[in-house]
Amino acid sequence: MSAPPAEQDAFFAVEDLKKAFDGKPIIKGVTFSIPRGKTTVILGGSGAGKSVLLKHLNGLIRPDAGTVSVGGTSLDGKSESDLIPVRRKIGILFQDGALFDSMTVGENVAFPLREQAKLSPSEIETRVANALKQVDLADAANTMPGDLSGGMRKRAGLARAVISRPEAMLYDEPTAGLDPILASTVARLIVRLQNDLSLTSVVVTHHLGLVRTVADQVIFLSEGAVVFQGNVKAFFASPLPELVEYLNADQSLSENGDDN
Amino acid sequence: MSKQSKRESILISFTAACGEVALLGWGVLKSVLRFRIRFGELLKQVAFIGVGSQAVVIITGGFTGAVLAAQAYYKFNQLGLATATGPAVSLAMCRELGPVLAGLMVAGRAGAAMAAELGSMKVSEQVDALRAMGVAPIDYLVVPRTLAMIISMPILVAEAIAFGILAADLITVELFGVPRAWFWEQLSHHTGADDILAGLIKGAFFGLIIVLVACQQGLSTSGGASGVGRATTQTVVYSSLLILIANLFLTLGFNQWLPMASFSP
Repeated sequence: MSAPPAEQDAFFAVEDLKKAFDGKPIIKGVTFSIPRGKTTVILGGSGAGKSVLLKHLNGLIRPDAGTVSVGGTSLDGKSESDLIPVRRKIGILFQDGALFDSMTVGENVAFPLREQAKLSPSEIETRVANALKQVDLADAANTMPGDLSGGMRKRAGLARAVISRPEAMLYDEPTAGLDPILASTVARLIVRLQNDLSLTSVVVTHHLGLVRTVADQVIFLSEGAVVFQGNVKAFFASPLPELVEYLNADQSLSENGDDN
Repeated sequence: MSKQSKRESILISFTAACGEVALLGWGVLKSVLRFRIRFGELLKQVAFIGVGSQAVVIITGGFTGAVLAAQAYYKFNQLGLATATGPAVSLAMCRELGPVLAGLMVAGRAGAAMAAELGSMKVSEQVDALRAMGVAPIDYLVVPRTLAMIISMPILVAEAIAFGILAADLITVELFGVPRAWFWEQLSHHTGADDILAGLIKGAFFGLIIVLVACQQGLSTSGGASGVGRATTQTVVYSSLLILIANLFLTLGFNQWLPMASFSP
């Protein structure tokens, strides 16, 4: 049976995904697809299950029920070693960068190349320098992660995630904990990488500014269920009560912030 | 929670941890058999476990040997057997005290540090980052530590035994005036290669217990900084308990397969 036209070009396809932790359901049977080469923002309140959902897309978390497919390959029943080739197609930026504390920024960024590719040390050095330049951290190669600010850690994490030239990128709260200037820098970086590398990107956030800046498609999660999937214009025009409440709360917060 | 249910919960978590340790051991074995060994990491871990633990193990071995010699001499001297002090210390250090005390000290030092390091990596998503980059945490984190521990522990045990015996020599000969030649003649007469071998094998086995418990606890850490603290504490408690329990069974086994040299004049 052929897939419907909308799903034929899906890089990620999730069907009836369910996940519970300690008996508490977090994801309650979600179905959606993420088109190849586009940026999809998964939005929702705290505890809505966004990060859990994101980690299902590269098999870091296994579902209790349902299926996840990446580039047409189902992850269902795959062992950790079977997942390695799939994971190498997908870069991920973790909330705090997840840099290895015992290595310098340069060594962190070089790590995927040393593990995955058979490149000479000089080639690795060149690619690391380029990746760090891409995220405006050209001078930080010899710095230890503990000496970086939150924004710099995220940018270093981003350089590490894209250095092996993945087909897709997953971003877990890329602007969380950053001031507005740093948040907009990270958002610009995501757009720049998207344009330069034509990636399929999935961004998990509760930051509406990112939706306006980077999104081609929006998925809105509420209490572990998808309540909206569509383009950015439709998202902001949606009459769905959950979305209206979310957008109004964000607007009210901005206005109160302005008053203060 | 009532006292009884708390005791049951501790027992259940200890038993569950033992099961997970066994599964982790199986994973390590599979990885080693596929020769997925990172020699750079292995050397770093040998330096951390082996070199870094030397001082504490030597001091522990030395003082234990000295105390044992002091106690044994008083009793043996009353029986006219002062020269038996050397063999008593030597056999106790080789077969029991050397490996057990080195194991407990390494569990407290290297095991706790390993659990804390891996636990911090787990809660800060560094372990997930490894998996996301297609690197198996067992290959990268557990196998080098396991091999380093198995290499380092027999050496540390040998050092503990050697310094225990040297300290016993110091106490028995220099302090109590037993002739050095008698001390060493009796000691070498009653201590065989099997006694040393039994201690070294026990050391390697205890090292395996420590590293697997530490890695299992570290890699299953959850709940932020308090989770890291819990994993560290449990590593020391569980590995110490398992060392003491395993020691009984190893002793019973070695009494069959590597028995002590029989006492003959």
